[in-house]
Amino acid sequence: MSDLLLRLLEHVHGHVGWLSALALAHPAVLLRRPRRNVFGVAIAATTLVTATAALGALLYPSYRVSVKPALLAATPVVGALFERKEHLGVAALVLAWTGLAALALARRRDAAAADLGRLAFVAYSGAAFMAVIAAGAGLIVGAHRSF
Amino acid sequence: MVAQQSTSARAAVQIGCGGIAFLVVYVTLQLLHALGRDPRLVVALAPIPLFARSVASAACALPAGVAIGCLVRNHRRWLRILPALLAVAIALFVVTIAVFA
Repeated sequence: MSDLLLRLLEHVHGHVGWLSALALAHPAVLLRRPRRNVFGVAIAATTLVTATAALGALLYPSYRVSVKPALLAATPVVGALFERKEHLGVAALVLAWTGLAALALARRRDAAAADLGRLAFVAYSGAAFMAVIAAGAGLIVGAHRSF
Repeated sequence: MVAQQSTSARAAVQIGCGGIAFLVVYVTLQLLHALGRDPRLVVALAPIPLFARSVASAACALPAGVAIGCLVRNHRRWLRILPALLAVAIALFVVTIAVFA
């Protein structure tokens, strides 16, 4: 991959990352009432966080070789922040899919729907929290060093 | 109708337990990594540790979720406590990553 393309993808990853962090907060806020139908909103948020994670996974091998060693050498604290951001991103992705799967089952509107709504609320709240931290950490890391 | 509700509750327990299992396995692997004791099987999964840990956690979480969902008898009771368990797993994950990553 050329440097120009890597830089472009890095910028897209950062912007879509912030968008997905905010999008994940939307179903979390709406699901304070567990029986509410937020399936469409949840699909959009989960799609965004999946796209962000896919872009991150695409960039990570190149970043690990060409940027991370220099980042760790110059500013170890920011390098450690980058490590933590990656783990939180993975967890946000898994939690978003857990929430979406729970909401898909809740659409049957049976007796378990309220419990499923509560499960999805916790999953999306956790995903939004982790995504906001990861996006903030990404902003700090990107300000220090990038492709 | 009752059968459909039972299937729905079982699937919900499988999903919830799968999500919790992913976080717990990931935390365990992260702690082993911090101690310098990465399991060989996990290291062999992918050259990049982050990817290897994620794949290993998913590979453990999927069968664990399915198995727990099938083994549990009172699905509705489990479904009521799953949000709290997931919240605990999220807190455990965040603390572990903040301290040991």
